[in-house]
Amino acid sequence: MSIISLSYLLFLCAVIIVYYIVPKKFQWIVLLVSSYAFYCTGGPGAVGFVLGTTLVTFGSGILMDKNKAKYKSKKEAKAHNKKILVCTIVLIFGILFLMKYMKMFIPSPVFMIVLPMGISFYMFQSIGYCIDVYRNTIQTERNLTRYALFISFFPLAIQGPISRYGQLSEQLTGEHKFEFDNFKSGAQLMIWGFFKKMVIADRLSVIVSTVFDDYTAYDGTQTAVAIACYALQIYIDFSGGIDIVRGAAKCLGIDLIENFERPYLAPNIAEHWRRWHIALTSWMRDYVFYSLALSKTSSKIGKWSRNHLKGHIGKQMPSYLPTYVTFFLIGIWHGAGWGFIVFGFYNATLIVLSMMLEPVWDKLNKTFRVKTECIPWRIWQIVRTFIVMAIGRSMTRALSVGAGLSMIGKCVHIFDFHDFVHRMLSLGLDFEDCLILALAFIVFVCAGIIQERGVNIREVLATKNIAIRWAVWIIGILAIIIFGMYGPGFDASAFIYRGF
Amino acid sequence: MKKISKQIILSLIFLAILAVCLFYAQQQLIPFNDQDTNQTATFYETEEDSVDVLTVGASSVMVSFSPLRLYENTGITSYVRCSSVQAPPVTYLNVKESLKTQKPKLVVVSAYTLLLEYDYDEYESWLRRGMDYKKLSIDKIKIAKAISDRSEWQTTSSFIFPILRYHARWKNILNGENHKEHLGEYDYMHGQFPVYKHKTIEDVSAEKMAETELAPITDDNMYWYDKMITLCKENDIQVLLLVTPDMRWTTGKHEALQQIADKYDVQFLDFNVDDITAKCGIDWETDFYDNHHVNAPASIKVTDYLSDYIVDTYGFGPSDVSDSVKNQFEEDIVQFKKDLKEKKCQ
Repeated sequence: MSIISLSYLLFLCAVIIVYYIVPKKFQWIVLLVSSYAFYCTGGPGAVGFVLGTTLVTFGSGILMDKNKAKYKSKKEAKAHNKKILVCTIVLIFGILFLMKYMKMFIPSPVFMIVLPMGISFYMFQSIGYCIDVYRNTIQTERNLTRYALFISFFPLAIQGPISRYGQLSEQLTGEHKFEFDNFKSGAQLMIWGFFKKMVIADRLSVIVSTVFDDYTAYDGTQTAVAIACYALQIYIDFSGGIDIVRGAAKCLGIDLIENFERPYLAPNIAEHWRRWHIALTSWMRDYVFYSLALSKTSSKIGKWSRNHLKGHIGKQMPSYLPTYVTFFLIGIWHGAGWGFIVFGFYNATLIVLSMMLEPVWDKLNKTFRVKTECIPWRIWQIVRTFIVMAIGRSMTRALSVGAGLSMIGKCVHIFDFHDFVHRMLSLGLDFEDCLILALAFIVFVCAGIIQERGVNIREVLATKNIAIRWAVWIIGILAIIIFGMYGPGFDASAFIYRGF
Repeated sequence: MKKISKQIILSLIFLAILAVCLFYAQQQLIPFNDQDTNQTATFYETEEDSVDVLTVGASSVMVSFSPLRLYENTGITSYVRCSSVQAPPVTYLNVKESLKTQKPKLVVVSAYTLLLEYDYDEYESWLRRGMDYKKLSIDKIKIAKAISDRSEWQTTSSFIFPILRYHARWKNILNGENHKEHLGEYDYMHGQFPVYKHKTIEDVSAEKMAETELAPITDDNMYWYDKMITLCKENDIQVLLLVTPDMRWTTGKHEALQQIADKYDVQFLDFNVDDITAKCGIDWETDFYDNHHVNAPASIKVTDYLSDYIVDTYGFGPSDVSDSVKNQFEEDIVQFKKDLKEKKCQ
């Protein structure tokens, strides 16, 4: 069931009504039943995998908990629990590897299967729980059904965000009184999500598909436009979906983490990744990067580098390998293809280089008296970061690594503006659609800039005259229904991140 | 409690305003075909229990059956609820819906689509012309569901809320393509779409009629025709399966429909056999505008024959209707005759 379908909205309405009608102590049961009902729409495979993951990781948590009580020595308990944790990770990620990545190496029909709904999200969520139990950062959940709700909570099924047990479980099993403001806020967030996804992202996808799927037919300028459009499309599509998910959860009185903080307004790559898909990057940071960076091996490397390499590189070196490993995993999480691996290494290299060269840039800025605390410099940083990120992301969409490199190579000839309008109108969208895209994108950018200044637009709107508030939301809904790219001829329901 | 009541009231007002805005937008976006829209709208305005013969089905009968000529010949009132390539479930819906306000004695069915392997996606535009202008009802929703089950991408919701199907037509409106000169006018032809054109068709009827291979009828088509015929019989309504002059007709098709007629014990009138076409005086050179649709002057010939057939077969007399209905028919006949005189078939 797509989250931008009428059936999902009807399903959500039904769940909300039942959720607030039943006695509060049974609300979490309503969520559990509706979550599994939602997974049923994905077929028996979808239910089977989420149930299997739940049982395995729940069991793993219980076993680790028992070991903590069984062994008097913490060290001994940890050693035994490490084995359980490793086995669980190998099992869960092994299944994910077989289903998602094996086809890269063995293109057999056996491995060419459609991934069960949400598998990448809940598998990471469940492993995160196991690691938290191992590290004693959370209390083990002893109620299977409450744990099952954490894993299967339906708004997260299609595209996350990957949630942490400590942040989400209490909300899921807690009692929630109907708050009209929550419902309104959730509905408004969903409207914004639908607008981003259906009016902007799906229009951008037309340009992207037109050029990427037949890249040899387009020139440098057109290719550059398509690369930029893809970078925007993937962000707007994913963040739109997250807004819909967060809005749905908000209607149920549950707050999910904000997964994006305007990443394309970041001044550098590192900051971009702190703002992009926060759930995944923080997961990778907490469970992969820190684990590697704080390991004995890393410590040995750090000792060697401080002794043998001068300056800040010596201090930074222990973090280079964990950075590469983390971004390799981030890359392949996004897709099973060489383009995703290249994307991961590309980002890791950029971050490592930026760390290495930071003193050099600081010195250059000082030498040439570059004013870095001003708007033009900030704009330059934003544009530079966007271009760099767009180039990297294009590798994940290109038909192959070779095709991606070829497309990037073409962009050298970007400054060719002859017959520009006609060439832009040959990228799949007609003039009217381009106009709507431009207008909607302006709205989106303005909203982003206002939010970047710390203003909560929905809260500000709530203080305005009722006629203005209602006009905004009615125009928003009309814009989605009239200008949305859905229906026959549009493949609008396919979220990019749904395939994860 | 007061706060909750205020929130509920404000929410309802908001939803009402939103609904009005959406409805207005929808009405601008639907591609109203003026002929189909006027045909349906005029039927809804027709006085209750004033239609004795209801005609449903595809375009071959839509162009060739003249309610005005039937009334002029026999005093029998009728209405045509046909549409181009009318889908079998829509034909059934037309009968079901009509029975809410009318009690026809006879339903004349254009049996052409019974033999058509109906592709619900390929014929979407015609299918929607048969569905979009109907009032929303449980029956319409059921038929919409049936259509969406038989379609790869059509959805029930798009029939309930046509804006979901036509939302992209905002570009057509910007380009001024939505203006329909005759939209909203009274359909004085009582549903018939007479065509004032002619095209000389090579007479290959004998050749086609020599094809005797029994034409197949899909189970799905049969399912809908069965429902329709059963519905008519439950309401004591006679059924006439009708095929008008058609250059593509074969003996095999005739036999297939004859078997259906025999099975359901209904009448079957095929203008392509027993020299009925010749008896009507149909001229292949002047009376067609394509190889299976007769033009307006020929519809007079077809209806004249049909008038005698209906009276002789079913024993109907002039309809027992109000004076206002009779007066309306008289007025409309005058207009039709004016059209026949002025609009020469080119």
